[in-house]
Amino acid sequence: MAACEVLKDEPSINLPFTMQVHAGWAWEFRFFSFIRSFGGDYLNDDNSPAFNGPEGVTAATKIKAVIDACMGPEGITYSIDDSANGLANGTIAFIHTWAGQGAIFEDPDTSSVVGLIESAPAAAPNPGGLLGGSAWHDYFIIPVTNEVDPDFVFRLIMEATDKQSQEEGAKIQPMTRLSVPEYLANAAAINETIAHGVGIYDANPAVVLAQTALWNWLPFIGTGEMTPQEALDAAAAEYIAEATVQGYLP
Amino acid sequence: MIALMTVPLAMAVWLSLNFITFRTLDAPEFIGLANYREVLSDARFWQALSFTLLIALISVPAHIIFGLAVALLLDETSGRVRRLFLPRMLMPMIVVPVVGTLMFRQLFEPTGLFAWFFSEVLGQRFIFTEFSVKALIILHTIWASTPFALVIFFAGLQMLPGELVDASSIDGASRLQQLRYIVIPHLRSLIVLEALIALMDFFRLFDSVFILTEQNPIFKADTVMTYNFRVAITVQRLGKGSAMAILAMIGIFVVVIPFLIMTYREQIEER
Repeated sequence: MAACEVLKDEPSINLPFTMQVHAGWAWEFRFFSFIRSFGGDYLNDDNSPAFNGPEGVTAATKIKAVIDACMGPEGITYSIDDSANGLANGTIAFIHTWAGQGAIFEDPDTSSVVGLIESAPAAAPNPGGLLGGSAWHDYFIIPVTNEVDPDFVFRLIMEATDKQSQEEGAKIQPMTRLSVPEYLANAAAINETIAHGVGIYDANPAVVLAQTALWNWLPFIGTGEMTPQEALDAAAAEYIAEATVQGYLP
Repeated sequence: MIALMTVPLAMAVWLSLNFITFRTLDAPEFIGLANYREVLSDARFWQALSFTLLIALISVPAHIIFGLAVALLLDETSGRVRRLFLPRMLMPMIVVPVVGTLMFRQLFEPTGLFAWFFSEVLGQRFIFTEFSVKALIILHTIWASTPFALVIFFAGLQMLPGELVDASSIDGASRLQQLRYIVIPHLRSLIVLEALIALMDFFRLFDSVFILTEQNPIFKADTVMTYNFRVAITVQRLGKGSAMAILAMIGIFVVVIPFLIMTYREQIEER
């Protein structure tokens, strides 16, 4: 955010920074990284909502602060491609995006900016906390080296969403699902993020309902139509109603 | 007919009377009309219905006017010009809807042609807002549906008796009078047919809205079908989603049947 304060006065760029909050699901991805980094989670053990607690409010407030400092009303509508294009043509100074996008920049067959863009691990929304990237969202990986046990490779593929498997894969040589392993200049950043990132969603089917409720309300924080607490409480109310109907809550 | 229409419809009705999710596919619970009551008391459903009706209200007349105008222009041209323009004008109808919508959207994205034009002319960057996204959906709907109207009206114009137009010219009728008293009455049944087809299509609008909004709730641009998808697939409420689909179908009938009756009566009277 400090960098954005400086960069927003730079006439050659449109936006200092973007992260994808252009859709409900994108907002929820960011929120997941932020709330985990601040030590919170979506649900309590009894499936009651935890995402509207203090960590959730802090996380959503931080996202809103980043939006206001760096993105504005235009940046919140930027898709993944918009952000990547902006970075490639120099109209955005830096972005938070999927690992596969970083790999694309280094693919000489498709990129005109090979060697011009550097990758860093995902930033920690909470300084000193977990990095704001997850093995689930950003890094579908399988090893590409031929020196490992084929059975292990198969298990990694089949368990691609399993955090431990992905971490094991990251020790060998990760590739993103965009099939450009030989140009993977951002492998070190990926590994760092996986090792110290926020991990994956809990394997609890009620989490899907929490996600859906968050999709419906989080974007209104970005536009300023709701405060973080209002949006999260609205999402919690919607989640409770649906989770109760579907039998996850008494 | 039974396999394609009756069985799916019966299944949808059955699903709509049960509480059923993907987790309870093997244990549906009969709840009568509760899903229907829930849909009818769902504010998001009414918001989606309102926007769907707005799309229809603007797009139906607009695409008919554009289709008719282009058909009239083409009717005035030579065969060579027709061969040149007609296939190109049909492109929105031929292209895969998802691909067409993605290309349409790209025009307005930060690196898109229209976004560049917008900033050059107005001096400010184009931003996706509730208004602009809703306007783009309607614009896209008109763009995508006009070619079909064009084809129908152009075919209708080829059936227009030339002697009628010639006689009116001799009588001193202006082009506007010919259009009003000869061409439009001649195409009337086709215009009604096109309006009916478009109404049904616009009620089922899904892919363009899905792509243009990216399901972002800030645009408040759900249609009945995109909201139906979210309820049935994302929230996994198959029963409620089915109830919504049945209500949408009934809604289409309510709107369309009066038109059908009116057209039928006119046909009888003409005979």
